[in-house]
Amino acid sequence: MWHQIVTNPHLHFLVMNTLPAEIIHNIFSFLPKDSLFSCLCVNKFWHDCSQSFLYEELELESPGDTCAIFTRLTNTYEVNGGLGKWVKSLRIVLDEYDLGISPVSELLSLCSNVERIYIHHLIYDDENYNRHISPDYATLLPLCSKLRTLQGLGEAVELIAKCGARQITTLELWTVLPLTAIEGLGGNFPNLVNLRLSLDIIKVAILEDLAINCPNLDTLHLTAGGQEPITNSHSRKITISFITTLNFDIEDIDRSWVAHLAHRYPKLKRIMTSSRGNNETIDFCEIAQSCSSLSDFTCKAYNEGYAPKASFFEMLSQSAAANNGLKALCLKGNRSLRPARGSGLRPTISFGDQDLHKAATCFGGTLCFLTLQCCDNITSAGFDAALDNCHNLTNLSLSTRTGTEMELQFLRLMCQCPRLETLKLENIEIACAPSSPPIDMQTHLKSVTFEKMKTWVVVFDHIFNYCPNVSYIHLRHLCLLDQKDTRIELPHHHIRLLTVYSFDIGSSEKECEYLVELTYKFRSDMTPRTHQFHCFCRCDRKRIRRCCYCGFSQKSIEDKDIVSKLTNLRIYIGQLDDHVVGPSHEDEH
Amino acid sequence: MVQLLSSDNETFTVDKQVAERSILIKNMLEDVGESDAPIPLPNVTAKILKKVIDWCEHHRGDPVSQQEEINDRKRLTEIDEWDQKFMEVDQETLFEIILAANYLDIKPLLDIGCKTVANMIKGKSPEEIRRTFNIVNDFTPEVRQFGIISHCYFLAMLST
Repeated sequence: MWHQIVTNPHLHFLVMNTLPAEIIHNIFSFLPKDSLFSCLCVNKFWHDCSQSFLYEELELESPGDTCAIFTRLTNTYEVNGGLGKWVKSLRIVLDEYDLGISPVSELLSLCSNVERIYIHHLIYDDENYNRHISPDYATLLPLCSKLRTLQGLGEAVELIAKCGARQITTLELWTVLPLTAIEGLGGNFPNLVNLRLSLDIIKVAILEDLAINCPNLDTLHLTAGGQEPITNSHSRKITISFITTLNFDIEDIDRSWVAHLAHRYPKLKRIMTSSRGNNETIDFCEIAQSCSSLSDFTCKAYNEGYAPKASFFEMLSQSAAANNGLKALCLKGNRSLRPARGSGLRPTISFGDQDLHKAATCFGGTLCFLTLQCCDNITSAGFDAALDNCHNLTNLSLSTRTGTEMELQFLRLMCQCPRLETLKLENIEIACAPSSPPIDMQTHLKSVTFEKMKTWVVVFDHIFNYCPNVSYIHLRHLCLLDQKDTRIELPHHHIRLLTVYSFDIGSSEKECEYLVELTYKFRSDMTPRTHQFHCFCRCDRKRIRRCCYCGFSQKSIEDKDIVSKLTNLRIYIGQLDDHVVGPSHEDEH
Repeated sequence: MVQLLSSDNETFTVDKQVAERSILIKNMLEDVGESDAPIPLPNVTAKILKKVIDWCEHHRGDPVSQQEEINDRKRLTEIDEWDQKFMEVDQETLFEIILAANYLDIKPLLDIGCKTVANMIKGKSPEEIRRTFNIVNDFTPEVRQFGIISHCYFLAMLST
């Protein structure tokens, strides 16, 4: 009886069609966009199912035309409720020639279920300084009842900051705003959880406004060109604030402001900070004293003196609540090798062996993520000693600015940090002694990234001998040929994800050929979404085109110039059904 | 031990821990309490129930993921080797496993089934998809000529 069913040609159709909508939805959620294009053309049922995914993220650049097409599509072709209802994420970019704003208004009213909007446009005409007619956001945005995230760039942010929409929880305004534009911001967006602001100058009054009006605010991202001096009158500040993530980048920030922020937000768990400007020495001890829940600290410094010191770690270990402690530590220096104005090489940040050692002794037990970027002041011996304490580390990322200054013993590292899963190395040479590893050595290493390393092949061999779990590999700016110009074999049965970037070095004709071949090889072994292979290289355009054809994500190609010259459209056309797109249509592209 | 009764009246005895991979059964056991009576599963045949139990046995030690990854777009279609072998069945069985996993509320099994189907769709043209699943093209000629074409052009235009 079973066999009879199998041979019934209509049964598959019945079964596929009788799967509940939620299951079909689940299946389609695993499909990449190009496969969804194919599904669109299968039959009515599939057509409807794939639509919801294809229109989920709608991007309209200079939307005069595209808006009109979209509106027409919605009105003529669709029967039930229009296409707009599928749109969850909407991105609108208007350039200065798009004076007709009405399509945007129409678009916003069509997309009734939109959850995220990104708006970028100008409200002033540069030459004549005339104000354009702008969409009436103050009326439109409150209509999108499911809208939660609003992001803006350009002068659109001025309009957005003033309009207000109570339902919004995430607001990101990326353009520097004058103080007048954000008056009453907190009151306009009372349900904010995440806020990102860029300001001319940061004032205590702004923080006060947010503290009063936005009780749910959890993440605050502040960028400012300067600061108002803290005076005594500011001591009456409101401290009841539950912000747990603070990201501040304030030019020439001074000690009193760091202290002010630390006192104001005592529940902070994550801090990300960076500083340009020539500020005084700031060692963040104020933060260590006030914020007992701090577990994640990222500091990016462009100058000396802006780095957590040994005293910071000591103080934090004393103030931290029991069982708490630093889990992630990330220190970034200035990557640029260009000299600073009027001087020689830009100084590397003054975070040294001693500081690292203090961090490791205080938080070695809890520390999971450690990133040291451009910390050339740390020596291999100092690093080695510090890592003896960090047995819970899962992610390690190291880089130096000038290269070859640190030497690490790979096997020793694996024994020091047995839980390590992700390893990223840049500009560092690693020693791999031929000695055999301890028998009981177990590694959990899954992902490795090598960048600008001369001796990477040696490490690579070691990894494949001793770390059987490695399956994600990223190779950046490395030579894929050895000194005799022979290809370096990649053990591809291990690899689930391989990315190769080599824009600026290597890229000889021979290497390009190898890359193209690799692309084909990986394509035949991999199904597009599971296993990906991206490769970018500088070579003649013909080759690039082939690479892109074979790679799977055209969106991730970095070089826009090259991409614009590609005939990407053909990829989609090629996958459409012959019945649907006749040969005459291909001529159009 | 828990007894499960399939739609065609076959009884299976499994470990409680194994049976509780199914949220449906887990909730039933919590509601009803310990009982010797077999749990009736009227939507699952013996053949499929056996497969599902095999899967649960193999994955009994797996950590039950508490939080759902929300980011749908980033969902990977990786399937581990054992599961791949497990899913090497004819289409009817595959769909029935998916339906059973849905009914019994075994999310990881449901996802593996859906990924398997997704992998069957990937890289195929519409005609190949129709052949694979024996689907009849039911578009009317007008829709074919105008609707889908304009659709595809619009979307393709946006994605470049």
